[in-house]
Amino acid sequence: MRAALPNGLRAPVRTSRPATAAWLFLAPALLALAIAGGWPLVRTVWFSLTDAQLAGGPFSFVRLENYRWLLTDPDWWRALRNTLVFATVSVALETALGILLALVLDAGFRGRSLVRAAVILPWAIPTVVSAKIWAWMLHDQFGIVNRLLLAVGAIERPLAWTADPALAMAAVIAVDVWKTTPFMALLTLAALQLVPTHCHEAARLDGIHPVRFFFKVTLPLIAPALAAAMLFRFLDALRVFDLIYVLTSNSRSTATIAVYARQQMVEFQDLGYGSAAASLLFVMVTGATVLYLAATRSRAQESET
Amino acid sequence: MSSVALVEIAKSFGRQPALVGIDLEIADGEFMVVVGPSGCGKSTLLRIVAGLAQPDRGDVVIGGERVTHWPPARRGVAMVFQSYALYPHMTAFDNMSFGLEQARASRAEIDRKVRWAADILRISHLLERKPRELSGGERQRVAIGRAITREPGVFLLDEPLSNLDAGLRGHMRAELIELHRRLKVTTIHVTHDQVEAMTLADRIAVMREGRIEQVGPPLSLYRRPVNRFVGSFIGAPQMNFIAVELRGYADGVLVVGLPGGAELRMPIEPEHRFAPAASVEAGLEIGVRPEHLIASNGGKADLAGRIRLVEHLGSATLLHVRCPGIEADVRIQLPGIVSWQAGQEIAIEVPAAQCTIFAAGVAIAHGG
Ligand SMILES: Nc1ncnc2c1ncn2[C@@H]1O[C@H](COP(=O)(O)OP(=O)(O)O)[C@@H](O)[C@H]1O
Ligand SMILES: [Mg+2]
Repeated sequence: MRAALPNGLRAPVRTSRPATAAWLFLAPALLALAIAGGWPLVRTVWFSLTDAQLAGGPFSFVRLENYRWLLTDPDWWRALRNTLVFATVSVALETALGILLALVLDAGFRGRSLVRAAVILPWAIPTVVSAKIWAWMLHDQFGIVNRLLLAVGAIERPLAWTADPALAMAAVIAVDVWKTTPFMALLTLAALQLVPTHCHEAARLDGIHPVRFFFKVTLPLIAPALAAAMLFRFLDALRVFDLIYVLTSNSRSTATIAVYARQQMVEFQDLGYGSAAASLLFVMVTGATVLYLAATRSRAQESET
Repeated sequence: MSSVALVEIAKSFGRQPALVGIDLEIADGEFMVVVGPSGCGKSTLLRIVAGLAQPDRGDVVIGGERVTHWPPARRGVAMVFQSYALYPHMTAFDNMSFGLEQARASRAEIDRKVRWAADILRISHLLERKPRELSGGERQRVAIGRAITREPGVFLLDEPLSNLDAGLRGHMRAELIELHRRLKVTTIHVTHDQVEAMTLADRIAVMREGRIEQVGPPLSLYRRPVNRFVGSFIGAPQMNFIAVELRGYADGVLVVGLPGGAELRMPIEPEHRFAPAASVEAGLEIGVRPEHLIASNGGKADLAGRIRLVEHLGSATLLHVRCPGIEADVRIQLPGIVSWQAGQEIAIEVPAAQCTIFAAGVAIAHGG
């Protein structure tokens, strides 16, 4: 091999170990990740095994005691349920609406690029800001939502959207859907480019109904990209904090694990207990990721054989 | 099977006209090739026949029915796209059967049709493969197979061979001819490749800038192009154009003088016989194909010049000759391998019987 190289060119020394170079390139990123993510994570897990207080002071090692309490706390279970309901329902709605929006944007019409740009706005606004905007719009006395619904006669009395336990979760999900649907739409729009040009026209010549075309051609083609986007959104939704805290603060009907953990740590000063809740959330998110990776890997191997 | 007629079809995109008054009739079972440079409106024409685009004006008639406003699926046409447009996640079999399922055919019926088409195209062993596991030529066959399983009345092909390499293209040309001979489906084949047009067509329609310039059998276009554009577009190597002088114009006979002084006499086409001499004189030139010029060995010499370049093609040799008084090189194609070399002087005979005379780009006299 080396003899075949022209004069003046030397073969790279370690061609047999490209992995070494890869790790070298990754090193700075891994180091940053270890400092910014790894260390706090280790500290949190460690605190979760103690009875430390946020204000400081002496504390002792209590092993799994915090976790034992957690699992017997109805509020924890409630927070877990809220988290799963929020994540599942909002991601499902965002995906469905995102696909619809993407299909509309994919169709050629005048001013399409303007609409595409406008659509991304809700996603571009910082969550705390848009949550605050919605908090005002959903305000029971001064909010525009109640005003409009009263004006068209859809409701008789103003509704306490964020305070009423029966409505709060729906309101929170609605705001998240408003904010995140554009994100799903743009990812779906990118995936739609995987459908080869002229496939639509070939189907039209065959008289294939657009709905059938969507389920038989479009959906299978965008499914892998869609699944990755959904997972990403789902993991994001499991960790939701800002939106819910701004809209409904510590309301029991919407408090998710992140809200619950913050309440334990900051309001009740129980660092150890709060850390245990946070650690369990971490385990859930990691678990979901590993499951997804395992699933995609086995599918990739299947299609290779 | 169905005949196709296009009646005064016009279509614009915004202000840009793509088709300007297209009239074309294609007989039942005919193989029509529409040829023209890129962007002249060939695909637009085909899409209008298919119903994928609506004309601004004019009518599409298929099998005697005015189908201008019919949806594509009702027209009984099948189309093969340049990009093939195969469904990437489906096997070749599913690609071919997908449209049939819609037509509510029974399983056995679908299976029979797909296997019949696969057999004709010799892709039976590839039916379980997905498009990405197929070569370009194989994908092409699947795309054609998908079209013929529908047993269309009209078969539309939009530059189907342009993505194939040269060898495969020649092979697929032969297969398309064979396929047409077997199925006898009315076919409109669009291409920018004049060789493809010459070899495939029963008749060729030459298009330029949204208009049809000439329609006719390949050899009649080759022999008697109606204008300079058709003359230069059909045939390879390209026709020579040589500016000439008007020497005589009487009794339906035109006499022109070549730059060297030699004269050619040709009968004027009937429809140009009564044009005033002044209108004929403007931009007068003869068109003669390189393969029709004769290297004269001491015989009649109509042109003389020096060889600038010799191109050996093996089966033929192309000489580029610089002649005094003629702007572009005159190209002569001689059969086989010849001993002519660059720098040599050569005398050329121009056979009037093989020439066309153009006045301002319009053919007014044909030697043959
Ligand atoms: N959908 C379209 N929108 C705007 N212009 C188009 C469209 N389709 C074709 N054109 C224009 O119409 C002309 C003819 O195009 P086309 O029929 O595709 O040519 P060809 O197939 O002969 O290369 C071109 O100038 C092209 O730019
Ligand atoms: Mg085209």
